[in-house]
Amino acid sequence: MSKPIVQLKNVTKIIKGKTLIDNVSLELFPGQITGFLGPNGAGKTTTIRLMTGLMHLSSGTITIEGTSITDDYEKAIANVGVIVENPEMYKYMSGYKNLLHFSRMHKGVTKERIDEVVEQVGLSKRINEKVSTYSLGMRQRLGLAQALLHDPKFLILDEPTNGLDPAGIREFRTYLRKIAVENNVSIFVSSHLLSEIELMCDRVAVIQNGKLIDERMIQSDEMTRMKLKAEPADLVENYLSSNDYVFTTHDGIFLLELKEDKVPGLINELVAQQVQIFAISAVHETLEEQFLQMTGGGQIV
Amino acid sequence: MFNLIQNEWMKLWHKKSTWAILVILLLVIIGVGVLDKVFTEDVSNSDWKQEQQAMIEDANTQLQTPDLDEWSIQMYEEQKLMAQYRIDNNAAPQVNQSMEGNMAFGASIMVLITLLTVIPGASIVSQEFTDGTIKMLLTRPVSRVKILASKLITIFLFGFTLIIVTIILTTVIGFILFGTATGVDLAIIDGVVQQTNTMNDILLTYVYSLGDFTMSILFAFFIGTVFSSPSIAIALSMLFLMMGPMIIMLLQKYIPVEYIWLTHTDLTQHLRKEFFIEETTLLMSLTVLVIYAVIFMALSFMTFIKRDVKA
Repeated sequence: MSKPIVQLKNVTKIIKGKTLIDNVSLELFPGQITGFLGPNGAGKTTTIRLMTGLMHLSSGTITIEGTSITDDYEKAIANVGVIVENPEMYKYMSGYKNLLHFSRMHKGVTKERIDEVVEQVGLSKRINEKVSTYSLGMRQRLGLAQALLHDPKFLILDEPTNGLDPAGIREFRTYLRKIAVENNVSIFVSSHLLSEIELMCDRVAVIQNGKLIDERMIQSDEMTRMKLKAEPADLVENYLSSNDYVFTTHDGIFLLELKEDKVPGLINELVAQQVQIFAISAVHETLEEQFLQMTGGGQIV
Repeated sequence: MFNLIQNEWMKLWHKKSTWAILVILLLVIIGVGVLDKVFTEDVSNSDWKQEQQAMIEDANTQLQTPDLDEWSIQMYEEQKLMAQYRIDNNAAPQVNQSMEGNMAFGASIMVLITLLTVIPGASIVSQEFTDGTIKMLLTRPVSRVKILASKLITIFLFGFTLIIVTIILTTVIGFILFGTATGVDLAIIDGVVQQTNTMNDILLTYVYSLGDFTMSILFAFFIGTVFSSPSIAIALSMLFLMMGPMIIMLLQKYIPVEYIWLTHTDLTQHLRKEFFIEETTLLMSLTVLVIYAVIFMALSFMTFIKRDVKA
């Protein structure tokens, strides 16, 4: 695994005696989209505000590309693109003027770069109109444009699909995936929607009551569950148990843990044993189920 | 830093309220000029020497009244002195409105200019909080000190723009409507009649009015930064700007008001030599104002830098 671009170490935030964020440590890597999941009020937005310097740490450190945001904020934040909740723009100015405004706050963002980003997010036609005339979807895209202006290596998005329609969400997802892969950008996306994180992210960190309770890869290909329908049942069961497979059986259907690349081998073996195979398929375990597992069925979302 | 000021200037002029402020100022300047022109009659000035002679005789008659109070005696004596001076030096009095008069009017509306600058001054920071744009502004590789400084500088630039517009406009309108002055203004300083330099007076009024201008802006900016609500900030700063003298009058009984900035903001009291509470030196006034200016700015910057942005 490559070196982390962002490191949170024992991050704690206490406001008026209340511990909002409790000793959170997390690493984020280039080219990876990390989902940040938790119910409303769990501390997602607070964590993001701490990472972007909008709030000050009570204790702990946050480093971005090796620079601590407390020691040298300007250097640390230079490589970060941010959308915190709804991207609030200056509604009384055009989209272009808004981008021009933010471009002046970064080094080396040219007019050509602004045009390029506008093109990328598909706002070319309406960019000279006032933001107050934009739909929510267009504002989100303008928000993405301002976050991408300076070609950041790390993108922080807080609830980025709030208010987007399904087509917009899909487009947004594809786009994020594209910049993560092509530009090796590390992306940190918070959301309270399981399904959204599941579709968008490689990895997920779960926060509950200010504490990071789990961190794992999504759809890891290490162990997948396979559903096997084959006869005769006793023959299959014998073979599986004598070969140390982990499985359960129910009504002639076997559920076993198996890596995908081991599937053809198993089929060959079973066929050699005169077993009739009717179907074999991967059981897609939803993130929701994984969560129930990791929290022991406790309420998360 | 230049980029940041450019940004703030751009945002300022994209707001309708900024243009409304400019329109109000233009209407007041043009309106008063035109009203002056329409409603004041032209007075012929050809026999001014006889009039001055009559004034001297009138003063002499009045002075013979028994038991005349001191104040009246002084007034009639001065009237005599000035009239005599005009006759001796062939210095005709001012009768009609003039370009210079209109320019002096410009200097007298510095209070209005201050009021109009306080509005964006109170909202330039707080508006970013209420609109939620502050989080877009602060997550940039620019320190909060620079962002706040650029906003403060922009407000002063805006205020100075209004002052320059006022100076130019009152001069041009005054010249077009009335032409230059035909007479001479006099003043008695230490018992000696002197011709006053009108331009000098106007300039001094502008300069001395900068005390109130600067303090009101800094106060509004401070309130706007601390409260992050434009309405509260505008209301509070207006209250202090308009009711300043009244507040001081009320406080006078309980605390030493000479250490309150409101007692000193109106520096023109040093020009007029008419003091609001009691006579002070210009140095004393300036010292108090500078101390308060530093306090207001320090509090603005400290709260802005330390604040956790939740908007």
